[in-house]
Amino acid sequence: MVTEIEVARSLQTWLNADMGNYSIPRERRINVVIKPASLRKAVKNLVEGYNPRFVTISAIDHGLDIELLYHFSIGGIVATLQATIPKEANEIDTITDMTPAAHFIEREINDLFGVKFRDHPEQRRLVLPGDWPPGDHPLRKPHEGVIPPSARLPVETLLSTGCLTTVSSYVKQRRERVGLPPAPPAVCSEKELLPEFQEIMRQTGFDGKAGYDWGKKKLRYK
Amino acid sequence: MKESIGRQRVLIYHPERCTGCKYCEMGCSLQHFGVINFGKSHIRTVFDEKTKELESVVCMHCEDPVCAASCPVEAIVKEEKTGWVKINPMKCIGCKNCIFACPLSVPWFDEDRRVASKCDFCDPVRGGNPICAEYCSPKALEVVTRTKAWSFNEQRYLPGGE
Repeated sequence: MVTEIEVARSLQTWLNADMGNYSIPRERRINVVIKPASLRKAVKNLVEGYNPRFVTISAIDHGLDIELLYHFSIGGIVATLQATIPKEANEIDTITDMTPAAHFIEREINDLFGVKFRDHPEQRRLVLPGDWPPGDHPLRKPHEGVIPPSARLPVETLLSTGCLTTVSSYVKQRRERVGLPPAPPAVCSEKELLPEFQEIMRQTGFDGKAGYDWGKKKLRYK
Repeated sequence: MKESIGRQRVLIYHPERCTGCKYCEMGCSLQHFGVINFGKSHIRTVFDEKTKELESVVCMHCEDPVCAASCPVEAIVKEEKTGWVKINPMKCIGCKNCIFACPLSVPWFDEDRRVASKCDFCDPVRGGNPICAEYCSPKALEVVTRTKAWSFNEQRYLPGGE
Protein backbone atom coordinates (compact mmCIF):
# COMPACT_ATOMS: atom_id res chain seq x y z
CA MET A 1 0.00 0.00 0.00
CA VAL A 2 1.53 3.29 -1.12
CA THR A 3 1.47 6.24 1.25
CA GLU A 4 1.29 9.95 0.47
CA ILE A 5 4.80 10.54 1.81
CA GLU A 6 6.21 7.78 -0.42
CA VAL A 7 4.73 9.42 -3.50
CA ALA A 8 6.20 12.79 -2.49
CA ARG A 9 9.65 11.30 -1.84
CA SER A 10 9.64 9.44 -5.14
CA LEU A 11 8.77 12.62 -7.00
CA GLN A 12 11.50 14.45 -5.11
CA THR A 13 14.04 11.83 -6.17
CA TRP A 14 12.96 11.99 -9.80
CA LEU A 15 12.66 15.75 -10.11
CA ASN A 16 15.19 17.15 -7.60
CA ALA A 17 15.20 20.91 -8.02
CA ASP A 18 12.29 20.86 -10.48
CA MET A 19 9.92 20.01 -7.69
CA GLY A 20 8.60 22.73 -5.43
CA ASN A 21 6.68 22.37 -2.20
CA TYR A 22 4.24 19.60 -1.54
CA SER A 23 1.31 19.43 0.85
CA ILE A 24 -0.92 16.70 2.21
CA PRO A 25 -4.14 18.58 3.03
CA ARG A 26 -5.90 15.47 4.22
CA GLU A 27 -5.76 11.70 4.10
CA ARG A 28 -5.26 10.19 0.63
CA ARG A 29 -4.58 13.56 -0.98
CA ILE A 30 -1.29 15.10 -2.05
CA ASN A 31 -0.53 18.27 -3.98
CA VAL A 32 2.89 18.70 -5.56
CA VAL A 33 4.14 21.88 -7.19
CA ILE A 34 6.36 21.19 -10.19
CA LYS A 35 8.03 23.25 -12.88
CA PRO A 36 6.17 23.06 -16.23
CA ALA A 37 9.37 21.97 -18.00
CA SER A 38 9.58 18.85 -15.84
CA LEU A 39 5.96 17.79 -16.34
CA ARG A 40 6.73 15.00 -18.79
CA LYS A 41 9.50 13.68 -16.58
CA ALA A 42 7.18 13.62 -13.57
CA VAL A 43 4.32 11.93 -15.42
CA LYS A 44 6.62 9.40 -17.09
CA ASN A 45 8.13 8.35 -13.78
CA LEU A 46 4.73 8.31 -12.10
CA VAL A 47 3.25 6.11 -14.84
CA GLU A 48 6.20 3.72 -14.84
CA GLY A 49 6.62 3.64 -11.09
CA TYR A 50 3.06 3.47 -9.80
CA ASN A 51 0.84 2.73 -12.79
CA PRO A 52 -1.66 5.38 -11.69
CA ARG A 53 -5.09 6.11 -13.05
CA PHE A 54 -5.26 9.38 -14.93
CA VAL A 55 -8.23 11.27 -13.48
CA THR A 56 -8.36 14.60 -15.28
CA ILE A 57 -6.65 17.95 -15.82
CA SER A 58 -8.08 21.12 -14.31
CA ALA A 59 -7.16 24.58 -15.55
CA ILE A 60 -7.45 27.78 -13.52
CA ASP A 61 -6.92 31.22 -15.02
CA HIS A 62 -5.29 33.53 -12.49
CA GLY A 63 -5.16 36.48 -14.86
CA LEU A 64 -1.41 36.54 -15.43
CA ASP A 65 -0.78 32.81 -15.23
CA ILE A 66 -2.68 29.64 -15.96
CA GLU A 67 -2.46 26.89 -13.41
CA LEU A 68 -2.82 23.34 -14.67
CA LEU A 69 -3.62 20.60 -12.19
CA TYR A 70 -2.90 17.05 -13.29
CA HIS A 71 -4.80 14.61 -11.12
CA PHE A 72 -3.70 10.99 -10.81
CA SER A 73 -5.09 8.28 -8.58
CA ILE A 74 -2.44 5.98 -7.11
CA GLY A 75 -4.14 3.12 -5.28
CA GLY A 76 -6.77 5.47 -3.87
CA ILE A 77 -4.42 8.39 -3.23
CA VAL A 78 -5.16 11.37 -5.44
CA ALA A 79 -1.88 13.02 -6.40
CA THR A 80 -2.14 16.42 -8.05
CA LEU A 81 0.74 17.90 -10.00
CA GLN A 82 0.48 21.67 -10.10
CA ALA A 83 2.20 23.39 -13.01
CA THR A 84 1.82 27.13 -13.53
CA ILE A 85 2.53 28.58 -16.95
CA PRO A 86 2.79 32.32 -17.64
CA LYS A 87 0.35 33.60 -20.25
CA GLU A 88 3.25 35.08 -22.20
CA ALA A 89 4.55 31.55 -22.90
CA ASN A 90 1.12 29.90 -22.97
CA GLU A 91 2.54 26.47 -23.84
CA ILE A 92 3.10 23.19 -22.08
CA ASP A 93 4.10 19.70 -23.19
CA THR A 94 1.42 17.15 -23.94
CA ILE A 95 1.12 13.97 -21.88
CA THR A 96 -1.20 12.22 -24.35
CA ASP A 97 1.46 9.74 -25.45
CA MET A 98 1.92 8.56 -21.86
CA THR A 99 -1.72 8.74 -20.73
CA PRO A 100 -3.93 8.49 -23.84
CA ALA A 101 -7.04 9.55 -21.93
CA ALA A 102 -5.58 13.06 -21.64
CA HIS A 103 -6.17 13.45 -25.39
CA PHE A 104 -9.55 15.15 -25.28
CA ILE A 105 -9.02 16.86 -21.91
CA GLU A 106 -6.08 18.73 -23.42
CA ARG A 107 -8.10 19.59 -26.50
CA GLU A 108 -10.90 20.93 -24.31
CA ILE A 109 -8.47 23.09 -22.29
CA ASN A 110 -7.01 24.36 -25.55
CA ASP A 111 -10.50 25.35 -26.70
CA LEU A 112 -11.63 27.00 -23.49
CA PHE A 113 -8.40 28.53 -22.15
CA GLY A 114 -6.20 28.81 -25.23
CA VAL A 115 -3.31 26.83 -23.73
CA LYS A 116 -1.25 25.18 -26.45
CA PHE A 117 -0.15 21.62 -25.80
CA ARG A 118 3.12 20.99 -27.61
CA ASP A 119 3.21 17.87 -29.82
CA HIS A 120 -0.44 17.00 -29.22
CA PRO A 121 -1.40 14.50 -31.94
CA GLU A 122 -4.66 16.19 -32.89
CA GLN A 123 -4.83 19.95 -32.44
CA ARG A 124 -8.38 20.42 -33.58
CA ARG A 125 -11.35 21.96 -31.81
CA LEU A 126 -13.40 19.75 -29.57
CA VAL A 127 -16.09 21.67 -27.71
CA LEU A 128 -16.32 24.95 -29.59
CA PRO A 129 -18.46 25.17 -32.73
CA GLY A 130 -16.78 25.46 -36.11
CA ASP A 131 -17.83 29.08 -36.66
CA TRP A 132 -16.47 30.26 -33.30
CA PRO A 133 -14.03 33.17 -33.85
CA PRO A 134 -10.44 31.90 -33.89
CA GLY A 135 -8.35 33.11 -30.97
CA ASP A 136 -11.40 33.63 -28.75
CA HIS A 137 -11.35 31.34 -25.74
CA PRO A 138 -14.50 31.56 -23.58
CA LEU A 139 -12.94 30.85 -20.18
CA ARG A 140 -9.75 32.85 -20.69
CA LYS A 141 -9.60 36.02 -18.62
CA PRO A 142 -7.90 39.22 -19.85
CA HIS A 143 -4.14 39.21 -19.38
CA GLU A 144 -3.94 41.49 -16.36
CA GLY A 145 -3.24 41.42 -12.65
CA VAL A 146 -5.01 42.81 -9.63
CA ILE A 147 -3.71 46.40 -9.91
CA PRO A 148 -6.39 48.72 -11.37
CA PRO A 149 -5.42 50.71 -14.50
CA SER A 150 -5.06 54.05 -12.65
CA ALA A 151 -2.56 52.57 -10.16
CA ARG A 152 -0.41 50.59 -12.60
CA LEU A 153 2.08 53.34 -13.44
CA PRO A 154 2.66 54.35 -9.79
CA VAL A 155 3.14 50.70 -8.78
CA GLU A 156 5.62 50.16 -11.61
CA THR A 157 7.54 53.29 -10.61
CA LEU A 158 7.48 52.31 -6.96
CA LEU A 159 8.93 48.87 -7.59
CA SER A 160 11.58 49.97 -10.05
CA THR A 161 12.75 53.23 -8.44
CA GLY A 162 11.34 53.25 -4.93
CA CYS A 163 9.50 56.54 -5.55
CA LEU A 164 5.76 56.72 -5.42
CA THR A 165 4.14 60.09 -4.94
CA THR A 166 4.63 63.63 -5.98
CA VAL A 167 4.23 66.20 -3.22
CA SER A 168 1.82 69.05 -3.86
CA SER A 169 2.79 72.68 -3.19
CA TYR A 170 0.25 72.86 -0.37
CA VAL A 171 1.87 69.93 1.41
CA LYS A 172 5.30 71.47 0.83
CA GLN A 173 4.15 74.73 2.47
CA ARG A 174 2.69 72.86 5.41
CA ARG A 175 5.90 70.87 5.84
CA GLU A 176 8.02 74.05 5.73
CA ARG A 177 5.73 75.73 8.26
CA VAL A 178 6.42 73.02 10.85
CA GLY A 179 10.15 73.03 10.12
CA LEU A 180 10.45 69.97 7.88
CA PRO A 181 12.20 69.83 4.50
CA PRO A 182 9.70 70.40 1.62
CA ALA A 183 9.85 66.79 0.33
CA PRO A 184 9.82 63.76 2.63
CA PRO A 185 12.89 61.52 2.52
CA ALA A 186 12.27 58.89 -0.17
CA VAL A 187 13.97 55.64 -1.05
CA CYS A 188 14.93 57.05 -4.45
CA SER A 189 16.85 59.87 -2.85
CA GLU A 190 19.46 57.40 -1.63
CA LYS A 191 20.56 54.68 -4.02
CA GLU A 192 21.80 52.27 -1.36
CA LEU A 193 18.29 52.02 0.11
CA LEU A 194 16.73 50.70 -3.09
CA PRO A 195 17.92 47.05 -2.86
CA GLU A 196 16.67 46.84 0.70
CA PHE A 197 13.31 48.28 -0.31
CA GLN A 198 13.02 45.85 -3.23
CA GLU A 199 13.89 42.96 -0.96
CA ILE A 200 10.99 43.94 1.29
CA MET A 201 8.73 43.93 -1.77
CA ARG A 202 9.91 40.42 -2.62
CA GLN A 203 9.50 39.12 0.90
CA THR A 204 5.99 40.47 1.25
CA GLY A 205 5.09 38.98 -2.14
CA PHE A 206 3.85 42.31 -3.43
CA ASP A 207 5.85 41.93 -6.66
CA GLY A 208 4.18 38.63 -7.49
CA LYS A 209 0.73 39.87 -6.62
CA ALA A 210 1.18 43.00 -8.70
CA GLY A 211 2.70 40.99 -11.58
CA TYR A 212 6.05 42.77 -11.71
CA ASP A 213 8.78 41.47 -14.01
CA TRP A 214 12.16 42.08 -12.33
CA GLY A 215 14.06 41.39 -15.57
CA LYS A 216 12.22 43.93 -17.72
CA LYS A 217 11.62 46.22 -14.73
CA LYS A 218 7.98 46.74 -15.53
CA LEU A 219 4.59 45.20 -14.97
CA ARG A 220 3.65 42.18 -17.07
CA TYR A 221 0.55 44.02 -18.30
CA LYS A 222 -0.41 47.57 -19.25
CA MET B 1 -8.57 -23.66 -37.06
CA LYS B 2 -9.16 -23.55 -33.32
CA GLU B 3 -5.63 -22.25 -32.87
CA SER B 4 -6.14 -19.36 -35.25
CA ILE B 5 -9.40 -18.48 -33.51
CA GLY B 6 -7.59 -18.56 -30.18
CA ARG B 7 -5.11 -15.98 -31.42
CA GLN B 8 -7.82 -13.49 -32.36
CA ARG B 9 -7.96 -10.38 -30.21
CA VAL B 10 -10.95 -9.49 -28.05
CA LEU B 11 -11.72 -7.21 -25.11
CA ILE B 12 -12.07 -8.36 -21.53
CA TYR B 13 -13.27 -6.34 -18.57
CA HIS B 14 -11.91 -6.38 -15.02
CA PRO B 15 -14.70 -4.94 -12.84
CA GLU B 16 -12.48 -4.70 -9.76
CA ARG B 17 -10.20 -2.24 -11.59
CA CYS B 18 -12.99 -0.14 -13.10
CA THR B 19 -13.74 3.21 -11.43
CA GLY B 20 -16.76 4.07 -13.57
CA CYS B 21 -15.10 7.16 -15.04
CA LYS B 22 -16.71 6.46 -18.44
CA TYR B 23 -13.65 7.58 -20.38
CA CYS B 24 -14.19 4.47 -22.51
CA GLU B 25 -17.63 5.70 -23.55
CA MET B 26 -16.37 9.21 -24.21
CA GLY B 27 -13.48 7.94 -26.30
CA CYS B 28 -15.70 5.57 -28.26
CA SER B 29 -18.30 8.17 -29.21
CA LEU B 30 -15.56 10.69 -30.01
CA GLN B 31 -13.78 8.19 -32.22
CA HIS B 32 -16.81 6.98 -34.13
CA PHE B 33 -19.10 10.02 -34.22
CA GLY B 34 -16.84 12.98 -33.38
CA VAL B 35 -18.92 13.88 -30.31
CA ILE B 36 -18.74 13.11 -26.61
CA ASN B 37 -22.12 11.48 -26.12
CA PHE B 38 -22.72 8.46 -23.90
CA GLY B 39 -25.76 7.57 -25.99
CA LYS B 40 -23.58 7.09 -29.06
CA SER B 41 -21.04 4.74 -27.55
CA HIS B 42 -20.57 1.11 -28.55
CA ILE B 43 -19.55 0.27 -25.00
CA ARG B 44 -21.71 0.83 -21.94
CA THR B 45 -20.47 0.83 -18.38
CA VAL B 46 -23.34 0.44 -15.95
CA PHE B 47 -23.54 0.61 -12.18
CA ASP B 48 -25.85 -1.83 -10.46
CA GLU B 49 -27.47 -0.05 -7.51
CA LYS B 50 -28.45 -3.33 -5.84
CA THR B 51 -25.10 -5.08 -5.88
CA LYS B 52 -23.07 -1.87 -5.98
CA GLU B 53 -21.00 -3.29 -8.79
CA LEU B 54 -19.84 -1.92 -12.10
CA GLU B 55 -20.21 -3.92 -15.28
CA SER B 56 -19.25 -3.08 -18.79
CA VAL B 57 -21.37 -4.23 -21.69
CA VAL B 58 -18.92 -4.79 -24.47
CA CYS B 59 -19.12 -6.88 -27.63
CA MET B 60 -17.52 -10.31 -27.24
CA HIS B 61 -17.28 -10.81 -31.03
CA CYS B 62 -18.79 -14.26 -30.49
CA GLU B 63 -17.45 -17.26 -32.34
CA ASP B 64 -20.94 -17.93 -33.66
CA PRO B 65 -22.66 -14.54 -33.48
CA VAL B 66 -26.41 -14.66 -33.00
CA CYS B 67 -26.72 -11.05 -34.17
CA ALA B 68 -25.39 -12.10 -37.58
CA ALA B 69 -27.70 -15.12 -37.62
CA SER B 70 -30.72 -12.95 -36.87
CA CYS B 71 -30.00 -10.38 -39.57
CA PRO B 72 -32.45 -10.80 -42.46
CA VAL B 73 -30.30 -8.93 -44.98
CA GLU B 74 -26.85 -10.27 -44.02
CA ALA B 75 -25.66 -6.84 -42.99
CA ILE B 76 -23.72 -8.32 -40.08
CA VAL B 77 -20.56 -10.15 -41.05
CA LYS B 78 -17.96 -11.94 -38.97
CA GLU B 79 -14.52 -11.42 -40.43
CA GLU B 80 -12.86 -14.78 -40.76
CA LYS B 81 -9.30 -13.72 -40.04
CA THR B 82 -9.75 -11.24 -37.22
CA GLY B 83 -12.99 -12.62 -35.81
CA TRP B 84 -14.52 -9.15 -35.47
CA VAL B 85 -18.25 -8.88 -36.03
CA LYS B 86 -19.22 -5.80 -37.98
CA ILE B 87 -22.40 -4.18 -39.25
CA ASN B 88 -22.51 -2.84 -42.77
CA PRO B 89 -24.63 0.32 -42.41
CA MET B 90 -25.32 0.42 -46.14
CA LYS B 91 -27.06 -2.94 -45.95
CA CYS B 92 -28.77 -2.55 -42.56
CA ILE B 93 -32.52 -1.92 -42.78
CA GLY B 94 -32.90 -0.96 -39.11
CA CYS B 95 -35.16 -3.89 -38.16
CA LYS B 96 -33.52 -4.18 -34.70
CA ASN B 97 -33.48 -7.99 -34.82
CA CYS B 98 -29.82 -8.06 -33.82
CA ILE B 99 -30.52 -5.91 -30.75
CA PHE B 100 -33.10 -8.41 -29.50
CA ALA B 101 -31.07 -11.44 -30.53
CA CYS B 102 -27.85 -10.50 -28.77
CA PRO B 103 -27.80 -11.85 -25.21
CA LEU B 104 -26.01 -8.68 -24.05
CA SER B 105 -27.97 -6.37 -26.36
CA VAL B 106 -24.70 -4.93 -27.58
CA PRO B 107 -25.97 -3.54 -30.92
CA TRP B 108 -27.93 -0.32 -30.47
CA PHE B 109 -30.21 1.58 -32.77
CA ASP B 110 -28.77 4.82 -34.09
CA GLU B 111 -31.79 7.13 -34.42
CA ASP B 112 -29.88 9.62 -36.58
CA ARG B 113 -28.80 7.15 -39.25
CA ARG B 114 -31.74 4.75 -38.74
CA VAL B 115 -29.42 1.72 -38.64
CA ALA B 116 -28.07 -0.62 -35.98
CA SER B 117 -24.57 0.07 -34.78
CA LYS B 118 -22.05 -1.89 -32.76
CA CYS B 119 -18.39 -2.22 -31.80
CA ASP B 120 -16.09 -2.66 -34.79
CA PHE B 121 -12.93 -3.01 -32.68
CA CYS B 122 -11.89 0.42 -34.04
CA ASP B 123 -11.04 -1.18 -37.36
CA PRO B 124 -9.86 0.12 -39.80
CA VAL B 125 -9.44 3.69 -38.45
CA ARG B 126 -7.20 2.70 -35.55
CA GLY B 127 -6.04 -0.57 -37.02
CA GLY B 128 -7.95 -2.71 -34.59
CA ASN B 129 -6.54 -0.97 -31.55
CA PRO B 130 -9.70 -0.08 -29.60
CA ILE B 131 -9.73 3.41 -28.15
CA CYS B 132 -11.75 2.34 -25.09
CA ALA B 133 -8.93 0.09 -23.89
CA GLU B 134 -6.36 2.77 -24.63
CA TYR B 135 -8.24 5.48 -22.74
CA CYS B 136 -8.87 3.17 -19.78
CA SER B 137 -6.00 4.19 -17.51
CA PRO B 138 -6.81 1.74 -14.65
CA LYS B 139 -6.63 -0.95 -17.36
CA ALA B 140 -10.05 -2.37 -16.58
CA LEU B 141 -10.53 -2.94 -20.30
CA GLU B 142 -7.83 -5.05 -21.82
CA VAL B 143 -7.18 -6.42 -25.28
CA VAL B 144 -6.23 -10.09 -25.02
CA THR B 145 -6.27 -13.18 -27.18
CA ARG B 146 -9.46 -15.17 -27.35
CA THR B 147 -7.78 -18.07 -25.55
CA LYS B 148 -7.06 -15.87 -22.57
CA ALA B 149 -10.56 -14.40 -22.72
CA TRP B 150 -12.09 -17.90 -22.63
CA SER B 151 -10.32 -18.82 -19.42
CA PHE B 152 -10.88 -15.36 -17.90
CA ASN B 153 -14.61 -15.35 -18.59
CA GLU B 154 -14.96 -18.97 -17.54
CA GLN B 155 -13.41 -18.19 -14.19
CA ARG B 156 -15.40 -15.03 -13.76
CA TYR B 157 -18.88 -15.93 -14.94
CA LEU B 158 -19.28 -19.69 -14.76
CA PRO B 159 -20.24 -21.47 -11.52
CA GLY B 160 -17.16 -22.55 -9.62
CA GLY B 161 -15.29 -19.45 -10.74
CA GLU B 162 -14.19 -16.75 -8.33
